[in-house]
Amino acid sequence: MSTADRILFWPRLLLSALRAQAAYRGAFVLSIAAMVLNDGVWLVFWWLYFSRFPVVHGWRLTDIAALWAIGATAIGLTHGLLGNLPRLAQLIMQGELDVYLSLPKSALPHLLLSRVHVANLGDVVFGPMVFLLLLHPTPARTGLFLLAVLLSAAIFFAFTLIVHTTTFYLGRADLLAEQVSISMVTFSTYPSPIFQGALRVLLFTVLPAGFIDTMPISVLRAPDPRFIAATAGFAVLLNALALLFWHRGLRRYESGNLFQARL
Amino acid sequence: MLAVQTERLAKVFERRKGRQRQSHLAVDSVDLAIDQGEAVAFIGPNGAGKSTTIKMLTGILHPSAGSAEVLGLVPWKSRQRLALQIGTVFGQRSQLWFHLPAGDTLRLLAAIYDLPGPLAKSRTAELVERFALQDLLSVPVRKLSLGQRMRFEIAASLLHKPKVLFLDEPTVGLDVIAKAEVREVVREANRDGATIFLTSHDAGDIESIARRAIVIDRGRIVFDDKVSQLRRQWLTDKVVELRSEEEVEPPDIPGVHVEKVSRYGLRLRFSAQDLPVRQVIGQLLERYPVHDITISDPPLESVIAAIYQGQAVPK
Repeated sequence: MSTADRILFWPRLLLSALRAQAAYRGAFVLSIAAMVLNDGVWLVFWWLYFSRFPVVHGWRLTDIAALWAIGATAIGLTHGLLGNLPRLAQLIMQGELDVYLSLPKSALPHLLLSRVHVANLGDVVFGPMVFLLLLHPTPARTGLFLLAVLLSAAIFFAFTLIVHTTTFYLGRADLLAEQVSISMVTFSTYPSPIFQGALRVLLFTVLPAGFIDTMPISVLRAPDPRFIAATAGFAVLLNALALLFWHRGLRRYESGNLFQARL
Repeated sequence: MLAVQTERLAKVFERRKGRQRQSHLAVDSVDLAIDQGEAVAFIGPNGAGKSTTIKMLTGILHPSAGSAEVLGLVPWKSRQRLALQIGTVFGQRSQLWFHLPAGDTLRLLAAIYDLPGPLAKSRTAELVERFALQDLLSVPVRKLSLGQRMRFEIAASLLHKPKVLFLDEPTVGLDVIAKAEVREVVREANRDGATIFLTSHDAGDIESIARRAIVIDRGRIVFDDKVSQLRRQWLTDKVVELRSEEEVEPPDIPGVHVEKVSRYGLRLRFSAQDLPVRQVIGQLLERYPVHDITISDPPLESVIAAIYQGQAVPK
């Protein structure tokens, strides 16, 4: 098998995961539509808010729309297309990594691309739609939007991977991982200037939603090379740490004997 | 050449009970040496350490101590390289995509095993014909019966012509016909040169597939010999079936247990360790006008039941 075939295997795997979920076409389409609607309701809420208070700490409605466009796309990519990422703690705990560990492919990408989470695919539809319809896409702005999405997705991915792989070390961390992941998403949907003091420090370290909150201003509205470089550096470090956690954790994997199917 | 070799292989699982940590020794200093082409049954009661051993040999689990090599590779260090040369079938765990047509899932697995297009096609066609899967290729895996699914599971595990096939309860939940099919396919893989490492609670699997049996109990190997020896050594019982020319009354020989009485027949069981066979047979011949008499070892199922009930380890 050629190198190109080996590389093409991964999109092929993702396509199979999509086809597996699309087997129930009606439910597939409805789930995506429901998430688009859910995200849309939040944007309407912000539109009502900004119609009364047009500027909040320098943020305008378009900035909030940009935050939702960037955040939703990034979440859609990491939690929707990599559908096993938000289930990873559960997979580890129930010994469901066996299938991936017994096949000759790198276990992490194999398991992540083997399942899509349909609801979060709605985010992948919603984010770009908001950007295209509300944020005046020009080639330059599209490039910046994609950069913001890439950086946000890298941070979401590494953070989620770290909190879920704590299961290897704690034995059971599915509830913790879920709670912390929800907090990360929640804090990523509000303008960064409203968080001050210790909370702001927290949001640029332990719960790095602050980087994502800052994207609409420092990447899209007024690109700040220092912020972009710092965010890229942080994302690389966080990903390196996440992969270290994963590989070290695999040594502690205990497997299990539940009856399982590959959904 | 050895296909599987382990030295003092051990696995300890840590458990928390309240604030205390407890260690559970699942596999305890296991030494194995299995030649290429052998068919070995690895048996023992639930919790004996069978699956944990298989998972270490396939690189899924890291051991706590000891060493292992499968086809010259350390499983947990060269997991992906090893996976290209071995096949695994876990009866309770599917490697097929539940919602995809079974044919698609075979094609995807061929890609996972890096089989080039033409080879993947010919190999898939060969296995599809061998397992009579033609009519099932477009059926989603979720709609297959358990027997059909297991045929696909085993076909999938043979796609890349593995040198060692690890089978963990491959016939669990199957009906008699499906079991026979699975056994035949595994025997055929063995005839083609694949080493078979089988765990099963089913005596039929063991007798029809394996020539050698390794018994593990509480993490330790307690028996390693031919399957026929397993039957003879583990239970020293003999079963005597007697057919008389006249109507029979059950005998009253101390140490001889009467299992079944019919008008002209008897089935008796006794321990050859406590009573010499010739003594029992002598007494029976004296007492009954024997038309026919057979002496046999107990069925393997009784042996397995005895092992699971914790009966003494044979010397």
